[in-house]
Amino acid sequence: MAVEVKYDGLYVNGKRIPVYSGTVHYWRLERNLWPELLDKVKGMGFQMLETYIPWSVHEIEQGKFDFGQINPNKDLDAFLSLGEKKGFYLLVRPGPHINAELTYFGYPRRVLLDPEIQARTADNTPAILPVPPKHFPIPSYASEKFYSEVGIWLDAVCPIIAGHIYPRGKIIAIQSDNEMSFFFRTSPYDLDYSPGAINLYHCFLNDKYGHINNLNQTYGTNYASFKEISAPRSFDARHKENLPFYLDWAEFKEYYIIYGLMRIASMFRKRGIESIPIYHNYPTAYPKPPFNLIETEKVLNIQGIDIYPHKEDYEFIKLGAEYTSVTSRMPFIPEFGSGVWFWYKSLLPEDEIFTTLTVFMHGIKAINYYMIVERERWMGSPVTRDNRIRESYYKFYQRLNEMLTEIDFASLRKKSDFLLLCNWDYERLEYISQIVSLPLQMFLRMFTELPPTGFPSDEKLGFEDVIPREYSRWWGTIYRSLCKSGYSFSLSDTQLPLEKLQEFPVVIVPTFEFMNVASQRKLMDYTEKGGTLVIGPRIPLWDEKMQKNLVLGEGIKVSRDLLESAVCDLGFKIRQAYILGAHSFVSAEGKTVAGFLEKGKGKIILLGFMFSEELEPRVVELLDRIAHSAGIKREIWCEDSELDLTYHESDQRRVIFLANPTAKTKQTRLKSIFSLKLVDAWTRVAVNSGAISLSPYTVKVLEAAK
Amino acid sequence: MLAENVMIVDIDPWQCRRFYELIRPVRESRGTVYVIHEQGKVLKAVHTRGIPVKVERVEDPVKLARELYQSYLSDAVVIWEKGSLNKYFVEIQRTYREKQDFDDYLLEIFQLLHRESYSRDLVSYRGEEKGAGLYDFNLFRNFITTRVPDNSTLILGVFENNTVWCSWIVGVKGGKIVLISTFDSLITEGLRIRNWRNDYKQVLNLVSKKFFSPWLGLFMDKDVFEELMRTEDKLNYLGRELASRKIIGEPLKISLL
Repeated sequence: MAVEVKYDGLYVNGKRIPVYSGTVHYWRLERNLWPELLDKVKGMGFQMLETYIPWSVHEIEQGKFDFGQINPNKDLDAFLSLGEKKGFYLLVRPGPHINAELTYFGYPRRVLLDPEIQARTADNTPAILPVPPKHFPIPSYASEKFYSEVGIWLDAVCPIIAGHIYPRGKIIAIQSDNEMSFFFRTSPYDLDYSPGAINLYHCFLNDKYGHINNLNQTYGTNYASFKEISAPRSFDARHKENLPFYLDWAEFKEYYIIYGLMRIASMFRKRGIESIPIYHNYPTAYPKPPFNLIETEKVLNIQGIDIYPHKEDYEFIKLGAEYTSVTSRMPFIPEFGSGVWFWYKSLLPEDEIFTTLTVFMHGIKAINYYMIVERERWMGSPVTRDNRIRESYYKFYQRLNEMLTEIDFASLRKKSDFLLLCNWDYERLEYISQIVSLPLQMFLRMFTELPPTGFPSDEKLGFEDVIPREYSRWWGTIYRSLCKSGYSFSLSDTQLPLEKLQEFPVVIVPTFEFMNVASQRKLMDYTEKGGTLVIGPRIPLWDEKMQKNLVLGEGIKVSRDLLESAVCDLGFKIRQAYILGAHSFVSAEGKTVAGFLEKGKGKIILLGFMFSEELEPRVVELLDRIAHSAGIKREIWCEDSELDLTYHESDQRRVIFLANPTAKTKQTRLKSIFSLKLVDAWTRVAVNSGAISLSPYTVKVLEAAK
Repeated sequence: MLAENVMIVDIDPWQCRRFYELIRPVRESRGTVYVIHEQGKVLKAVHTRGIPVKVERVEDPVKLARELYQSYLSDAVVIWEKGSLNKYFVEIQRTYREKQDFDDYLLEIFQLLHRESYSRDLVSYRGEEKGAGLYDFNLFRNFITTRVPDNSTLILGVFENNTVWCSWIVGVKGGKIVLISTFDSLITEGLRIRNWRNDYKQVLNLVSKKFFSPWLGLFMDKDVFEELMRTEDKLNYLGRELASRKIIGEPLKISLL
């Protein structure tokens, strides 16, 4: 490919182009203003532009398109040429799904009203998306008629795009569809039950199992063919043997999204869009089922996340940025809020400054600011649609782009010694065990507080524990302790390839009584090659098909005795602890409740207990013990545990990001094993590491020469 | 009420935020209690902040909601009967009509919640009577669709120390809202506010030039607007403050009041 994707940016003919980009919607702006508007974008230091190319805007009747012949504002070719002339690299997004607050989200109305194209709910109704200014029925990405219609659109637009692809022009990446997510209706038993989707489900099962007998063996059923299988419409599992049927449904929901992205991507490739990477954007900062970032990057080049955060959303941004920074090939935010849609709470400069620095702090390397020039149905961009500037926004972006260049941010790598993994098996279990299917959960969260994990079933299903509940608590306790510990850490999930796991000296993963056997074997390989693996609270005894399969727990004896409640030797309360036959790592009442085993060049530490208190500060001492056993030290940290710190390094420099995500002014001191001579990268003023003051909701960027 | 291709342009983000925070005041969230049951048998009882919630059985959901609200001091208590929740979502999707306006659809799905078949099974208690917001919305809808003439604008200007604190320009055509904007759209037209009590006339002229003729314009200081938003009897307050000239109404048909 003429354009390569690497962690730190897009490489064009071997030259790194950091992705710091901004969105301009040509068709919504007066054409005579385009040159000045783009000059203003350039004035902020941007070298990359992004635009949607909406089907419904260009289609004037079925099969007939206006690309500027009638309305000069729609002259896509002229806009792309102008962008190139102004020196911009270009990202394009021709859909078919656009959103952009367009009525009908960029689909022609006739397409959405076609019953053969509509998605169906579990109750066989159309699925309505209630968005202003006009609600509409959602299309199915499993409908062949849908792809026929999309093909006509792409036949018209791809030749124009192809004429501007690098090296002919400056388009260096293209997005497949947009925020594919069942149109935010991600509840497990909501969509899509249309005939095309059910057919796709059967094909998926066929590909997975190969033969119906293999499925019958796993499900304990007697189907004659895959076509006989009815898709689940609610969670009715009573015992763990019922789970593979539902876990397969979770996997299918992920597959449906990937299938749609793959179809659109292959339609691009067949129409001459060949030499540039294809990316996609989830409509969430922190992808969980049905979004599967790792699997998506097997078929597309980059899977990004979209975020529109206010300053109070720090914790959620952090989770998403940390996760994406490790898990993605190029950690990218294709839509980062620069302004926001009209019926949402506006983003002010204080929000954008704080949250932009937050995402960089937590490992994002590539970003597109949506929208850098305002348009209708949007508010709060640095450049208005009538060619004015909103000064406080504008100056922020100017200084930001200068600073990113001055510190050569693209060359920096975030330091992380610990890696905390989500266990994808339990994420899927939590997803499909929801007892109510809320069609608009993603929307509801904008207006009302929902439990973070929704409403998973509280049934044990034959396991010792209610896995979704205990998993969430165990992971949460470790996560919060890592945040307070002063150790550098990051996040990912159990699907992460071995070579990426090996970048981290310590990997922590929650484990319960069942777990995917391939994941277990990969984690064993990680320890054999020298890593320290921390698991718990249970040893997996069954695999994903609920067949007995002991991999991670081999060599660890577990007594059937259970300590209901005790205080461990580190001074915090534990519960439901198994007594282990292994070298002691943590003890309680004289018994080993956490043990370790040497495995190859590394070791496995099993924490065989639950935590009693989710906010127990002494769990940090457990992390100290783990760090010590892995030969890790704290390197740079601050005294105040309400503040957050990460640091990034290159050969030339260290850059420390220090965040105050609270509403209080804070004074703190940095501690380090290095000698720190600091300069505030924003103001270029020297900083005393022993006396740093932070206003509420600020991130300080501190540069230290190596 | 809302046109399918409504133009929403030049919304000043600060003005919009102030308006937003006035109608949705920022306060510390105390979380929400959810109880999901199946004909009385509790399937799940959870507090969004992780506080344990104990509910044995759901006999009277409305009474239970009030009790839980008082016990947990949460922002809200939500009690759903699983089967009814599902029926509700099926019904709101079956009612889809392509020609129906979006706000009409929203009103329909909210009103459905009050229907007897759902009002006991889908309970949301926030310590106030349900439906107050619906009343105001209906009032506004009727006003737009039946009173405001074609091709006209409604204007609201709120000022603090003679700077625009928040503003709205709403254009109506054929009984539908076709335009939503703020005074930000008038800056390139030359709007300069030095003394709003004189300069409101500039706003009227520029709106007439750029959009449609003003049919109703209300201009006031921020503290007056805040009081108007707080007061229950808005029409009476409006009448009183128009008479005292704390609010300038121009143009304004007395019959409106």
